[in-house]
Amino acid sequence: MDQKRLIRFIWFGLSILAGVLAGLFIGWSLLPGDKGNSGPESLRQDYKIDYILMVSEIYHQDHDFTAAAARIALLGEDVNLRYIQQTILTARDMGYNTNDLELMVELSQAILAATPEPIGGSQ
Amino acid sequence: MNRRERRPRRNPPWYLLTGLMLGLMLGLIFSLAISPLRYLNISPDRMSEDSKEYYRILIARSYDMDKDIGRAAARLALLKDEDVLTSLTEQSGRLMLKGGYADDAKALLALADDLQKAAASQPSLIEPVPDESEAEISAEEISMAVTPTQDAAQAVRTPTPAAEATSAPAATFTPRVTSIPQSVLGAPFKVQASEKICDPDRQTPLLAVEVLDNDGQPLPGVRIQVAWEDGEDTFFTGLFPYLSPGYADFEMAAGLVYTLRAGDSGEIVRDMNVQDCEDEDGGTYPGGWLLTLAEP
Repeated sequence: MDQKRLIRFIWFGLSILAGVLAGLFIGWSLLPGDKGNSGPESLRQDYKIDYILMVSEIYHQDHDFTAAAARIALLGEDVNLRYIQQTILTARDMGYNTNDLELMVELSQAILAATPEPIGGSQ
Repeated sequence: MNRRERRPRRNPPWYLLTGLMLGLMLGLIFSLAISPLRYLNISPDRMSEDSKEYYRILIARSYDMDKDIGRAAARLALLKDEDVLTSLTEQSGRLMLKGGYADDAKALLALADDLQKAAASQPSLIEPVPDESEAEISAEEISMAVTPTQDAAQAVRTPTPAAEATSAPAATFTPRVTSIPQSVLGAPFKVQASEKICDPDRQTPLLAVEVLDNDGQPLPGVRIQVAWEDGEDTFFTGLFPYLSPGYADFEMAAGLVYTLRAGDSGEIVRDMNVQDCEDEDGGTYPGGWLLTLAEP
């Protein structure tokens, strides 16, 4: 009798496991589609570069470093000063004009001066 | 013997169905609520509605700075709104009602207004992008969509010491950040030292530059212009702070002769080319230069 009960529990557990796997498959493969639950951190790299350019342009106008830092932080926790600088190099390679590059350099210098610790994480 | 009594009736295994349903519920809760699928490397139209609204504000605020309607329109097109003008004005209205976002609301409205005026002569500015369009706008195209600004005048065609209007941002820096005074960007940086760099581990020789102020401190953000027979390039100091805030470098190609200038009025350094370095075996390999440029 105990053995029969044990077998039932095992099968019950396996059926739960099968249900969980089915639920994960449905939730991750069949249902999501273009649910649009992503933020700026999920943007493709070239769009992130343009995002940083926009932040730089806004910073150039209002010099609100706190707001600029908050905007940059939305790109993800691994975005730091070195990331911004690498972005500038990539933007140069992509052919961004000098004006744009100077704006981004201005922002990176503000980060360098105002925050000794990188934004969003350690280098 | 009664046959019915020989085998007891078996109930269907409802417990298996219960387990399956329970597991299915747990799996769905986890995959849809706790750890939903997130897409990477998406375009702006694939972001959540909140993120799109935030992005729209960035576009409007940056337009407020540069007044580049072409670029703003190209950026807005990435969001694939059905009606760009309606999206802007409705969002502006929501922000005004919410209160505390007056600047953002005004910027959105101003962009909508200017876009409407520009679209009178160029309707394509606000035409919706087809959903499955193959002509997906890339950020690179946006960077090229800039309506002509002063950049053309700033481009260095030949490294002559022409007195051009500086492209440096105007003196609007707030005292709390370390910034480059405008006068420095126009400073006549002179060569303080030049030395050959021989690094056998480097395959491509570098033209390295370090720019210093008149106190000998490294200066970030100084534009370095390099020209050669068939081309030119621009780069900036300060992108490698772990080396020096005033450091910048450029990869040289063999056979070319480079001319370099720091800032807008710096000394023109000519005849920079790949040098021969000698290794331990007596063979040669390409070497570069390290120039130190300083304010007088």
